[in-house]
Amino acid sequence: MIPLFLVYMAEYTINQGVTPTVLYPLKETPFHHYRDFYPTYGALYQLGVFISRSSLPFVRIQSLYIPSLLQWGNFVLLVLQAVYFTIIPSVWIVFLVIFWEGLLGGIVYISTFRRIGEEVPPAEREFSLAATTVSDAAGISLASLVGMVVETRLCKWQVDRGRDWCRRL
Amino acid sequence: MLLASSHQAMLPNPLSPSTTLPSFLSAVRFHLTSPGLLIPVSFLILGLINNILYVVILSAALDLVGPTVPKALVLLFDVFPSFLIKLVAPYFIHRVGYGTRVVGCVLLATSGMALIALSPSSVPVPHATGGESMWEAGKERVEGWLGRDPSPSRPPAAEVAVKLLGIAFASVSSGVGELSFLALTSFYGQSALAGWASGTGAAGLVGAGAYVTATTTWGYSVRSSLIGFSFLPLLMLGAYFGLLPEKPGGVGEEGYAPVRASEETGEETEEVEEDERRDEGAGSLGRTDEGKVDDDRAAGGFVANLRRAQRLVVP
Repeated sequence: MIPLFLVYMAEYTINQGVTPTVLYPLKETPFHHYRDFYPTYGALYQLGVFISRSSLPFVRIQSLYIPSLLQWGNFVLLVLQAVYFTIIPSVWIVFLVIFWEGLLGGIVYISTFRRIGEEVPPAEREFSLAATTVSDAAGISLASLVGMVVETRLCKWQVDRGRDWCRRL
Repeated sequence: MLLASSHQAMLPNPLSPSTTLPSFLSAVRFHLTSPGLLIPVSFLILGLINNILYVVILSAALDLVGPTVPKALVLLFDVFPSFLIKLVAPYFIHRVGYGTRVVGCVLLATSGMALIALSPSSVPVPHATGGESMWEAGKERVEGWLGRDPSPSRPPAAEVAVKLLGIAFASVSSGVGELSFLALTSFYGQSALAGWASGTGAAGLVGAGAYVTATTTWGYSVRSSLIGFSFLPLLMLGAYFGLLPEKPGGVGEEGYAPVRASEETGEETEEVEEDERRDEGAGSLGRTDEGKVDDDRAAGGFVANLRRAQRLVVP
């Protein structure tokens, strides 16, 4: 349950709290308005999730903790970018990072439930699968609370340093 | 019968000299209705619908409460009920058969939709008119969600409360759906899990896209779009009761495809299967030989389940 919780919390905090503040000067991006960033990030993330969640027959990973750590690594990277702005030079790299974020989320989801199906004794499988679903809900719940705080503070930080794009959405 | 099935196990080859049109069509029909295809496809539909409804209802409610209501509050009502139900339900929901649960989910989601679509809504919703592009209208909506809309009107608290209740219903429905269908995959093998996961992944893409398409590209009001989407729960009923094959005899059994007992042996076998289904549903409580559960067993079963859950926490 813990890896699923960690991944979902990182993911939804990134999506709601951090990506609204990861912005670039428009001329360096394919966008015409600042509010175009967010839906595009969302679409890339969903695409990543769809691809990884559909990969159960093809991809097999054993560790659940490594992708969770990588997801928190994504979180740290994007927060650093929002704070310092010089970490990721191009919005295209951010697109890749967010797509990668979606891939990680999906792979942990399918791997968790696949491993429960394989490693838990048959009589307990039904209950175990059901009981584990609480972890992603918990991660999302917590992220929805934390995300609001993170977004507000990151945006304020940026505005205080002259990057008011997050207010110009 | 044996000959026919071994012949039909080959994929239909229209160019083979022994193929006739009836044999080709019968082979195609055999494969389209084989459990190997029906199981992942029905779970895909279940996953898709379970999560699309959730996404659509959330988007509609966000639009209908307007930007003055903090997005965080709406999201809280969207995730917290699901979290609570997933936390407690696995310990008692085995008493409820899967068929009943599916109907319950459909009713809850439809009620949630109805609450949101049919209750009064005083907030003017921006959606595409003549020359405005889908993208522009979508951005207006995003702007509203991020709380930066300049001059919205504030809806009355009762109206917002009703919308939030509708979202809560949708949240519980999707939560019960997810925990039930994931548990159900334990009876059908890994292809079921693959179908379910893929469906839920697709729902994220399709759900948001479908809602934006309906409300901006096609210009329907939020209300009309929701009412239009209300056919989606029927697909869930269709997938579960219509497409999904009867549970195989054992848990996670693969190999032989189950005989379509309902067609061949009639009523009696169906009833036995129903009982088996219910007994297997009670499996997590600890089966007695009679398949019944008495109170002492129930208490032991709950504690046993808590211990199982404890073991799941750190994989």
